[in-house]
Parts: sequence; C-alpha cells; structure tokens
Amino acid sequence: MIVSHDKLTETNAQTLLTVSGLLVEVGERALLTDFDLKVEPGALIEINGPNGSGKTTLLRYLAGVRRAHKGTVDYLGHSLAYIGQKSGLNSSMTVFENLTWISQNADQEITEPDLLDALAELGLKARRNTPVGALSAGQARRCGLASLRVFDAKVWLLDEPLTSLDASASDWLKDSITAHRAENGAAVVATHTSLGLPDTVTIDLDLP
Amino acid sequence: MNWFTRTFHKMGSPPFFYRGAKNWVKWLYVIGLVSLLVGTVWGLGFTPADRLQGDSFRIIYLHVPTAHLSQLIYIAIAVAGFVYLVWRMKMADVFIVSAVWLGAWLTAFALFSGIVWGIPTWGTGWVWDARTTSVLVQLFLFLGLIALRTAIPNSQRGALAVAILAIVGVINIPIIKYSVDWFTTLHQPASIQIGNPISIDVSMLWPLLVNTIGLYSLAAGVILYYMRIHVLRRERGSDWVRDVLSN
Amino acid sequence: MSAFLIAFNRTIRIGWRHPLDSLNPMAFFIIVTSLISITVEGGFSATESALAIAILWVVLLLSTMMASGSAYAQDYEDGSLEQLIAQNQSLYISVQGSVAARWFLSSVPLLALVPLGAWMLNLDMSVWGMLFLTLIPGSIVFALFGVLGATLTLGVGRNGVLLALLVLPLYVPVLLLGVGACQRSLGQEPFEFALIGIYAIAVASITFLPFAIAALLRVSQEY
Repeated sequence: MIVSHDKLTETNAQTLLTVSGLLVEVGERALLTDFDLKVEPGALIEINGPNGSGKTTLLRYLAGVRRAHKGTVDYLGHSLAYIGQKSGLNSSMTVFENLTWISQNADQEITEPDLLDALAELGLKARRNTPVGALSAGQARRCGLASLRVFDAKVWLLDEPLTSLDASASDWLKDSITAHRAENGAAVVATHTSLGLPDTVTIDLDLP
Repeated sequence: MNWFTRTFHKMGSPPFFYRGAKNWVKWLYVIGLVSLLVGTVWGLGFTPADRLQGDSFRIIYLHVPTAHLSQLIYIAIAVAGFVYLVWRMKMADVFIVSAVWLGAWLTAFALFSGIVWGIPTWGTGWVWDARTTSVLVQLFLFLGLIALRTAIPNSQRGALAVAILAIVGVINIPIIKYSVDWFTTLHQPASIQIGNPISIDVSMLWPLLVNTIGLYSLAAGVILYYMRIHVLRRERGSDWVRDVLSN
Repeated sequence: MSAFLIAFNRTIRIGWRHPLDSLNPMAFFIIVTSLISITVEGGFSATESALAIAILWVVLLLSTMMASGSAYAQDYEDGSLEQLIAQNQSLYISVQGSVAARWFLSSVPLLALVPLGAWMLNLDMSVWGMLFLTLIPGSIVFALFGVLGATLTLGVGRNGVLLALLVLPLYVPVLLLGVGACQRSLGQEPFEFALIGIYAIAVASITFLPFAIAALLRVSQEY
C-alpha cells in the first residue's frame, strides 16, 4: 500500500503552487520583497512570525484575495481552499446552507451524504439546520473547517486554524491534514504555534 | 513613443516631479496673475458695453473661464483615476487629491457668478436649465469625491475608490447634460463654438482669451503647488525627502 | 450552477431571513408619501398630477437607496466576500445575480406600493401605465447605483449620508427622463426620447456597472 502510494507520488509528482518574485505589502509598506515558494504534493508549510510580520497578508496573497501587483502566484490549474480569520459563513444561513454555498462557489459537486459525513466527524450533524449565528464560536470554527472536506481542493491555505478549537477538533484537523498530504494534497498554514506534524517546512517571517 | 514613455515614467517618479515642478509653480503663478490682471482690467475698463446686456455682461470674463476650467478639472481627475487604476501610478492620485478641492471651488464660483450675472440679465438668479443644473450636479460630484476620499482612511483603497467613482461620474456628465437639455431649455446658445461663426465681438473676445490663459495658468500653478506638498508628505520616510529637507 | 444563480439564490435566501430589510423601505415610502399629502391642504387635486409624478419618483428613489445601502456589508464582515474572490468565480456575473436578487427583494415590493402612493397623491389614472413603464427600468438603475454606492463605502462605518452624497448626483439623468416622460405623457406631448433614453441607460447600467462594483469588491479586500 505504502509502496504503491510512493509510486503514485513519483509518477504524478506535480508542483501544486509556484510563487515567484512576489511583493507583499500592507498599505505602502513592503513586508516581503521577491518572495519565492514552491509547494509540492504532500508538503506542509508553516508560516511563522510575530504579529505584524505579514502572515495573514501573505496567505491572502496566496489565496488570491489580494492580487499580486509584482510577481506571480500560479496554481497551475489546481484548486485551493482558503480558511481565513473571518469564518466566511453567513450567520443567518444554516450550517448546511453555508457549506452548500461554499461548494457551489468552489465549483464542486458534493453529495449530501458526503456533507453529512464531514459534519458527523466534527460533531455538527445534529446542528446542520441551525443558523450559524446560533452556534458557539468553537462550533462555527468547526463548521468552517468542515468546508475543507467540501472544497476537495489540492492546496489548503489555513490562517491560525487552531484558534478556539478544543482538543478533539484540533486532533481532527491534524488528522485531516495528514490524510490530505497522503492523498498528494498540500497545506500552507499561518500560525505562531506549530501543529507539530512530521516533515513540516517552516518559513520564518521577521518584522520588516 | 520612446520619449513619451520615458517622460511618463519620469513624471511618475516623485523626486523627479518634486524638483522639476519647482520652477513651474513660480512661472505659472506669475503668468497667471499678470494675465488675469491684464484681462480683467481690459475687460472691465476698455471694452464696449454689450448692446443688450449693458455692463453686466462683463462678468463673463470670470464666469466663462471658471465654468470651463472646472469641467476640464473633473475630466482630468477622471483621466488620472483611469491612469491610477491601470498603472497604479502614485502621482495620478497625488494629482486627484490636489485638484479636487480647486475643482469644487471653481464650480461653486461658476455657479455664484452665474447667479450674479443672471439677476440683471434674466431677472432671476437661478434658472433650472441644462447648463446651470449640470454645473450644480458637477459640484455634487466633486463634493462626493472629497467626502469619499476623506471617509476612507487607507490611502490606497481610498485612491482606488475615488478613481472608480470619478470614472463613473465622468461618463455621467454628458448623459446628465443631454437629459437636462431635453427636460427643459432656456439659456442663450453657447457663444463660442468651434466651426460656427463667432457671434461675440472680437474686441470683447480678446480679454476673455487673456483671462482664460491667466486662470488656467494660475490653476495649474496651484495644483502643482499642492501636488508638491502632497508628494513630500507621502514620501516623508524616504531618503530623497530627507535630502530635500536637510538642504 | 452558474455564478449568476449561485449569487441570486444566496441573496434571496438571506434576504428572506431579514424581512425588515425589505419592509423598512416600504414603510419609509408610505410614511413620506403620507406626510406630503397631509401637508398639502385638502390633499392633492387631479390638476397637480405633474407634481405628484415628481414626488413619487423622488420618494421611490430615496427608498431604493435606503434598501441597497447595506449591500455586501454582511459578506464583507463575515468573510464570505473573501471566499467569493478566492474561488475565482466570475465576480461580474455574481454581482449581476446579487443585484437582480436585491431588485426582487426590495424594488419589486416598492413598485407594488406605487399604485397606493399614486392614489394617495390623487394621480391622474391615465399616467399609471407610463409610470410603470418608466419606473421599472428606473428602479433597476437606482438599485445598481445604490449597490455601487454601498461597495464604495464598504467598511466605512455609518455611511448613510455619505452614500446619499455619492449616489444622488448619479441618479439625476434617470430621474429627469422618467419624470419627464410621465409628465409629457400626461400633457400628451412627445416622450419617445425619454423612454428610449431610460431603457438605454438601464441596459448600459446592467452591462457596465457590475464591472465597477466587482472592481470595488476586489479593492475592498486589497488594503
């Protein structure tokens, strides 16, 4: 099993994301000049650095929420999932409706059983018809993470994913990332506390 | 073309602009003030009175150039907005910020002088006709630009928003003109039109021309003056500003 | 599913859960029309229909502006807008879908109130047809410019007065053409120019304004 998996990795080894010469700026202040990054299948990249060093901003550039004015961010046709500091969930829509919208928006066909499975793993199945506004902060955060399943994307971009997660949800996230890597996916995580997973590449950002 | 793109890029460079514009400001002020003085004295003192309107027509020496210039400034702002949107040229935004207040004041003055002219001529200060109404709307558009620029603290985001609003506004100006024109028309037809025989006496025209040159130069000088201040303020952290200030 | 339908469904769904967003502008419409008829002694007479037309248009314009002032504000706050942009859907089409839904949610109910307003202002029945013929494209343009104003001021707190200052001047052509067409049809004068003009403006606005709105949505995320 593992051998065949390795073979798969070798034959299908295809870069998922290349960033070259990217200028990252906040206001008129350049945080990073000429930033390069290559994300290969199975990679886990942690972006580390003090507050204000531009972790979130860099991730927003990678997600395409901010357009690069200098340099390029190229997904080479692969899909991405971005979970930012804002949940991306509408508080008056239910858990189920939000996730459906996210999958439509990402142009993914997802079946209802798949969606229910993902919700069951996160303990949200019973609350699938509850408006997100009525969930607790931790539950809303879980609902956002459930969308990782819904996206079915190659590259995950996660901004401080451990915030307001309890131990079980943190474990679920770590397991998901490991499984995702095993399926030739990759994750880029902005965080100041390492997830502690093996083979992590760390990028340290300094204050400019 | 090569020369053009080079100059375009140089104008976009703040230190080059700051140094280059210094002498321009001085000369534009001198030309502007002298021409305005000559044109106004000439127009008020040495031209014959109008056959129909008497002496009150003389206000056109101020009214017409300000009205035209204010409109020109709005169009220039929209063009600068387009340049900023496409090439993110900082100087384009500096121009917008420096010109928008002048544009608003000139529009307000054009309205005011129109009222002053209208009272003796038509017996009423305000007529809801095509030109007055579109100048009034133009004043609102200017105020909108100023308000929006002030409301958004982030300077780049504010600049982009203002650029887009200016472009939407400038497309609207001819539509506003046409629609108001259709709605009601009362004014005398425009006196100076390209291709038409000039219906104003030449002796009345010269001072108008001199005043127009004067006002345009003065306005260009004022805009450049403010642009230099804004450039310094924005680039205050950079080396060349430190050089300029230490000298 | 197309980006148009995705945005349309979502906006309708959310709007349905916030009925006050549609009802408040309706209440505003009725209250302002009532205040105007109360303050005219003995109410409006049928000979004042030209004035009544202008009043109806302006009140509808203000109500529409109120209704669209909050467009995209919630998406901006909760991060849905980030998701929309990150997933690289056609923002232009998505904006069209969202504005279309907003038109159904708030402009159609307002248009449904127009007969009531016309009755309150004692408007000559012969203009009612022309009133709707012009108000329908007019309200589409009002909604589009309203959303443009809302996206210009995204993230700027307490934006009501600012929104009015930005948007009202842009409403002038449609207002004049619409009111003009109705008034002329009342006086049995030619109105074709205005009718063509207002539909042309509506088509041009539907085509081009979403570009500006989409650009502003991107800009709101950039800095």
